[in-house]
Amino acid sequence: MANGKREHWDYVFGQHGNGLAAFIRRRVRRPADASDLTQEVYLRFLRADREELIRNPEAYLYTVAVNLLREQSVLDRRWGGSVDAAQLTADPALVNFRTPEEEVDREARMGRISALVDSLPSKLQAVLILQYRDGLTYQEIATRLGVTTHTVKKYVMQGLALCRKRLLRFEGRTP
Amino acid sequence: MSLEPRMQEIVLAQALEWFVAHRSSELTDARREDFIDWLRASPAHVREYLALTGFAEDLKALAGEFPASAETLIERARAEPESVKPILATIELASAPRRAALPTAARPRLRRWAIAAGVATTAIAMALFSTWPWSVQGNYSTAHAEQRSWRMPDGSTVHLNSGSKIKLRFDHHHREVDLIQGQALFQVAKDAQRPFWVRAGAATIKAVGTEFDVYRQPQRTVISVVEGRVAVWGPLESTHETAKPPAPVTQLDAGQQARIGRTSAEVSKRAEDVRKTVAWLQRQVVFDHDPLASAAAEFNRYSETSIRIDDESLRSSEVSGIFSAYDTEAFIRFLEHQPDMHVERRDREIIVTPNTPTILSR
Repeated sequence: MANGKREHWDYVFGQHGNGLAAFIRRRVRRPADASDLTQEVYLRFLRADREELIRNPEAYLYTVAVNLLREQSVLDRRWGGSVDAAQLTADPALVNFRTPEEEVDREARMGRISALVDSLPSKLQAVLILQYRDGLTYQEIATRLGVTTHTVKKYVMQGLALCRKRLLRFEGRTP
Repeated sequence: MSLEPRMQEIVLAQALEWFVAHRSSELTDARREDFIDWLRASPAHVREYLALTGFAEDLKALAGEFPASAETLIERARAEPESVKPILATIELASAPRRAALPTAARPRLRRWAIAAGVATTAIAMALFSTWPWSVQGNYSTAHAEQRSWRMPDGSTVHLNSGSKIKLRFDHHHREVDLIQGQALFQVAKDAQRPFWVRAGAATIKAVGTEFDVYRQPQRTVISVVEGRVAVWGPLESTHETAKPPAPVTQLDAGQQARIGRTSAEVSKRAEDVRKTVAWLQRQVVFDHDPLASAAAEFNRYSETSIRIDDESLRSSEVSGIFSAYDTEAFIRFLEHQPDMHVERRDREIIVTPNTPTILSR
């Protein structure tokens, strides 16, 4: 559903802020602990109770990732200290906290993403911007472009795939 | 040409399918189950899904600065000719997320070639069994749980998997490699004057410039072609002499695989089989509805801890997923989360038995 989709996005971003982007940035910056982090997310996801998982597996995954990042931030700052679970969820600043070095990374990364989007074929560029900037649903984009929703989905996938592949190449994680 | 991007593409394509599916409509319960299974199948899936979402977040944070108006974007998009090429080789993967959860995918038919035993040859025997004055000879080997790559004297590269050994002999006219044990992937430098021969178990392979994997198992040798083309012979009888060399049992193109036993040869045209076989290069192992027993055997190749499956029906039950070859722990955890299995951890051994439901009385 068109509306369902928009709410879903709001839900995801509202819940997690820029937490997943932060998660990924950490992977790029410190690849060694990053793979540990992903591994840990995976293991926690495996341990999750299926009954609970089935309600919204995607949101569950995001929550696990962001909580883990919070724990790590606390551990990093209080070297060797124990983590107070209540504090984790109470302090959103922990996730958005960035070192100057991360700030530079972010600038550079944003610059690259912007260049990537610029270089996309017009159709792919249009669907991504209309979706992410103007908040249009796939259905709405389809109507305005005069194509089917199925085609819009295809464009979204192709646009994201191109960006991801080029970014990976840039980060040197694809030989 | 490296293999990793291909594997990464598959995972990326699957992640994209799920990502877009979540954003186009409410998923049914069954689809959510499938999604859970897909995530649980591999840490690589979790990693790519998070990376994709992280990227989308960045994109959303940035999209506001994009200058062109919606009207301009639409106008340009409509004006652009319909020439968007498929970016991923995903056509066959379109249903992949769902497939992971299907009970059994029908195995495609394998073509069989009966090999006439006792075929004699002079030409091939000459090339392979003679005591030529070789200008370069050498041995390369890897220990258990070790992988290494070497550049060979002709510019070709060989990657050796855990517990493998090759012997090579090169001169101005010949390039010959014996795979004595284990598994090797060859990236052969082009040299039409000097074909590249590999002998492994009952199989003999000839390549000019190509990339292929040879896995010598006790009962058979598996040859998988990643790029280019190779010719494959079955068991050769070197003691007789005939006028003509025998025809190869098969020619393999990229994405094809042959299994050569002492008395049989099978050829599979499934690109998936090749991908699975060469996944070790990225230190990954891939299972696609494979019997649990062979999955466990794969892990046992890489790890000090061995996994033992103590039940016949469990041994043949199927598993699917992509794992890091060196992360036996992730695989064990995966097993522990299978409802029908019981996993017992001992010192250097993991024992898997069927999980018989116990009735708890209070």
